[in-house]
Amino acid sequence: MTLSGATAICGFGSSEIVRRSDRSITAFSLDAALAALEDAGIARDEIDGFVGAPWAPNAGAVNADGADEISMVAFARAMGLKNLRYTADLYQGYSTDMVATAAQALASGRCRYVLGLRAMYNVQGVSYGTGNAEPAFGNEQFTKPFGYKIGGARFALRINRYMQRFGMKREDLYEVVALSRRHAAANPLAVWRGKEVSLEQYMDSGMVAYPHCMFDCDMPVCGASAFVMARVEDVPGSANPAFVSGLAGCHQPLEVFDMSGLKREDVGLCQLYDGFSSMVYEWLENFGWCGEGEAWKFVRDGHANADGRLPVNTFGGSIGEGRLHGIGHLREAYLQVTGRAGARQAARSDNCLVQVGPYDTGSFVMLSREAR
Amino acid sequence: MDSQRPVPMPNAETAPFWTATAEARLSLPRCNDCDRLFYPPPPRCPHCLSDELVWEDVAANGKLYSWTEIFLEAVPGIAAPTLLVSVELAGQRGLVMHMLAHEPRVKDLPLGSAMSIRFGALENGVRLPYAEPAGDAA
Ligand SMILES: [Zn+2]
Repeated sequence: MTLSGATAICGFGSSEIVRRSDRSITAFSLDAALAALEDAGIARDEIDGFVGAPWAPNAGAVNADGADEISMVAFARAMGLKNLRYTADLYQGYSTDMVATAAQALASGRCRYVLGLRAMYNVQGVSYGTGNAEPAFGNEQFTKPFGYKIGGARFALRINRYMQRFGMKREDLYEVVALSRRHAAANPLAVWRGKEVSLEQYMDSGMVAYPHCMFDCDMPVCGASAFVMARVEDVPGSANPAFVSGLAGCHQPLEVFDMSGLKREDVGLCQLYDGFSSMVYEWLENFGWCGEGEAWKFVRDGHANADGRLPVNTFGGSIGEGRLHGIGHLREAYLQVTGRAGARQAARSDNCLVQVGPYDTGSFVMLSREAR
Repeated sequence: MDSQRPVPMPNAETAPFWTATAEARLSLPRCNDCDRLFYPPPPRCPHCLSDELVWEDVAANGKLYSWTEIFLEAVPGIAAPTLLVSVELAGQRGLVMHMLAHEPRVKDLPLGSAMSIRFGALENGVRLPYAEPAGDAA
């Protein structure tokens, strides 16, 4: 059997997104989950599957359940879930991996309604982005004494090399930030809604790791989004389904097209991971929307704008909305494909590609308006 | 200054690397079947899965692959900003090591410039490698 078109996201919900909060990650998670159930038209006790990706990936994470992470165990208790047949918490996974896992659990018949949850939290009183002076164990022996993972340094190394090879400047990187802020203006959840950044502000702002400045980073936030997934025949009549037509992991990325039977031209828009601004270039080039070393021109020349050839991050991305680590990208794809993106609705939204994760990891989902 | 820099805690796979750096040598494991060197040191060759990796001293130089200057407190014990460089080892295409550099002039060098890998002061039994433009006095 094929997974393509066998399952659908049938509802999505989100908490508010704020930069700091006195409420716990559990409270934000419940807000998102309850909104998702209402949107899908599913009762709490019908939920018999759960998929999460509860990891706080920042260098300053406290990695404490109920603080900056929320486990299935803690969440199920808080929500009073009692009928779970299938659960998975995906270590170092992304929202796209959550969809793949849910699709497989549903297709195998293990469960009927899966709740997917991703929550992020900016813990007060700790430095979000910097580490401490503990011994460096395991793989950290070769990263921590050099700051390799601080402030996205490893991504800064990658884009600085790219810039030098292809003649790109920081003024060009600004175009990704400008696009994100423009698109965020139409996203009611976005923390940077209505806050445009001029080139002058950008060039004058504090650096994080050259060439990335503050504006190139997504802002740590408190917030959560959740969704309900079901087999196509189980989607409630009142719900707005987006069919899961393609899935892929980073080792075989083209499978997202092969599984869905779609070509690049069939994809109306993309939601591309942007933990740092420079990341949006990766898959525009790898999937052939532009040649190697040309994605920065594609963005600069307006082709990724809401009214461009291939709208990218129509909700503002993580850079415009806040650092929900890819669940915002999935939510936007769902809203676009179901025609519910309001002022952000793209002209061509039958098929939306979602990519979440840095260049060397992550995964892909294709959502489609029609079951394929 | 008391260094609070994170201290690498060697294990069976990585100890020969740190033992060598303590003696100011760069030593890496090679899979003789695949004729490849690896960094960081793996338990087995990731290609053929052989565990017969042979340590060998390699020339501590290479080419500038990329750099970034980190303005956060990136490394405890080292004041920001921190210059992090990637060095592609000489004759080892694709074998890139990341380490600090202390010479700001690195930022003005074109990609591919010759770099030397040197070793810092012995602390907690370990010398951490750092990079500098080739030709600078050690
Ligand atoms: Zn081998």
